[in-house]
Amino acid sequence: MAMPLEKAEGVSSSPPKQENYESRDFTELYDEYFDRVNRYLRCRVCNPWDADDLTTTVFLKALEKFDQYSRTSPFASWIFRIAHNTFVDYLRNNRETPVDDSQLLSGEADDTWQPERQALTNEEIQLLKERLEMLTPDQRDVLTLRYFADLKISQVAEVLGKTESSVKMISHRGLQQLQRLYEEGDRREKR
Amino acid sequence: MKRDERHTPPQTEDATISLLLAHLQELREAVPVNYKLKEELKQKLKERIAQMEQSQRGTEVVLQKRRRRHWAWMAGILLAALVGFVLWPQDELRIGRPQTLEIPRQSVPERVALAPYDEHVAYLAEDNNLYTYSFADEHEQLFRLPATDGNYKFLSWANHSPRIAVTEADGERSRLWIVSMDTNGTQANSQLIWEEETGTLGSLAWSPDDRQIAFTIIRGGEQPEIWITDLVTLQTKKWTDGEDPAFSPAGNLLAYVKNGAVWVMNLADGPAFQIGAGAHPSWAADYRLTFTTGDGLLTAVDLSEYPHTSDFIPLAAVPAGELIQASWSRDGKHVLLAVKTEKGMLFSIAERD
Repeated sequence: MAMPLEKAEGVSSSPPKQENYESRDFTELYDEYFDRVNRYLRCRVCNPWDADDLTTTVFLKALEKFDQYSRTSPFASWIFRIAHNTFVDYLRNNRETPVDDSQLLSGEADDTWQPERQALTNEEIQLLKERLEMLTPDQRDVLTLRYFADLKISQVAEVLGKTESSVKMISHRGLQQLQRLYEEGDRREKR
Repeated sequence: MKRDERHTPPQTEDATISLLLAHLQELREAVPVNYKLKEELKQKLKERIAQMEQSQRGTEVVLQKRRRRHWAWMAGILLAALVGFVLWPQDELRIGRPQTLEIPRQSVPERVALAPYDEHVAYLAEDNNLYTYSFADEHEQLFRLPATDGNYKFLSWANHSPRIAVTEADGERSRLWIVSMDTNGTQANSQLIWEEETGTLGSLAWSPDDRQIAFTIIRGGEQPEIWITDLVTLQTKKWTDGEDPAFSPAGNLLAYVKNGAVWVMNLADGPAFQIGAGAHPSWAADYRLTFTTGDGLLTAVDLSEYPHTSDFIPLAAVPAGELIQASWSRDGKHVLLAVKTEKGMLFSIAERD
């Protein structure tokens, strides 16, 4: 398996110049997609350590299977299919694990974290997480992939094996339901 | 694609949904990313990539070595094949191009038999007579069989004399006759060997010394039985269950078919052993048995080795149809092939290469 770490300069055997052809090597793709995968898993998993372990697993799996990636389809669909399947496997193996709310979506006291993005409190993120848990599994999958993994509708459809129209419908209903949950929450707080 | 394009809400969505989307985007960006892990994992992945590249190079070296070894083996096998071709064992069964016989087509293969001498076959005709046909000069000769009310069914030619054993079906009765022929085509005499009141007599075979005849008795719905009659003492007794008997050239073994499989029995002490699925066994030589399989292939088994070795005998230019039977002449130089076609059984003769 050819696995160039860096792009070789002056090499004539460059990949074919097709539209949508993904020519970047693995480390370049890793640099771009790590944040999205890590965020997606931190949104879905109970504690950040598990999310980080899963992120590590996702990229190790991706490296082992990188020669199977066709390069003509978006890398985002491919890596998030691995991420989503890894998450589903994790859920199957951890059905009895109780949710530790105090740890939910919290970050480690780590210098690499970006303090400017911590304006919203963990409490707000926790609230969103709880409301997401009140949606159907399909709605949860679609909304997290769409709005936290930052995927396009077509890519979400590919990851979940659904049609685009089905994903649009699920997304629309999920947003409406989430909106209602927020409104109900607001009304309760006012009382 | 820009993020704005991805998250632009449909126009039908109301303002509150737009606010929700904006809120979700804010939350997404607020979810912390473990950048420390990002750096550590990147190092780990780079190390893994280096290992994989090294392993790939190693694999290529191993593959090159394997390819060299493979070619060395191929060269060795080729050399062995050449040596084998030059020193081809003479007992290897190979059959030459068959010659179709100009004789009437038959319903069953047992109505045609190889004469053990002078390159002749004998066949039973519709007129209840026996004809011999020389495949050397294509000359045909009539031999009159004893007049009978029944029909002659199966025949077998003796090994050392102009005698044939022939079965006759007469209503529910069946009879086994031995007919001695003279060379001018007239009947000399006939001898009744066995009469079956309500059964059918089937395929039959002479022992190599012409002293015994093995034949098949089929009694309605029962397992066929092989009986052997001694032509000197005229004692006849059941030998085993089965059909299609064939004495080996040395006379010590009897091949037969039972329940769709070919068996071989030692006539001296009785034990029988199964050779394989098939029918119509015939001896090409001592300890060299052939039989046909259900898919029309000819299989040869070497009984001098244990475990027995078997292989398929390639047949060139056999008439289109299913090979039913291959019967070897007593000297093993010719084989009579019976091929089932839509218009009946077609016969051809081939020499052993």
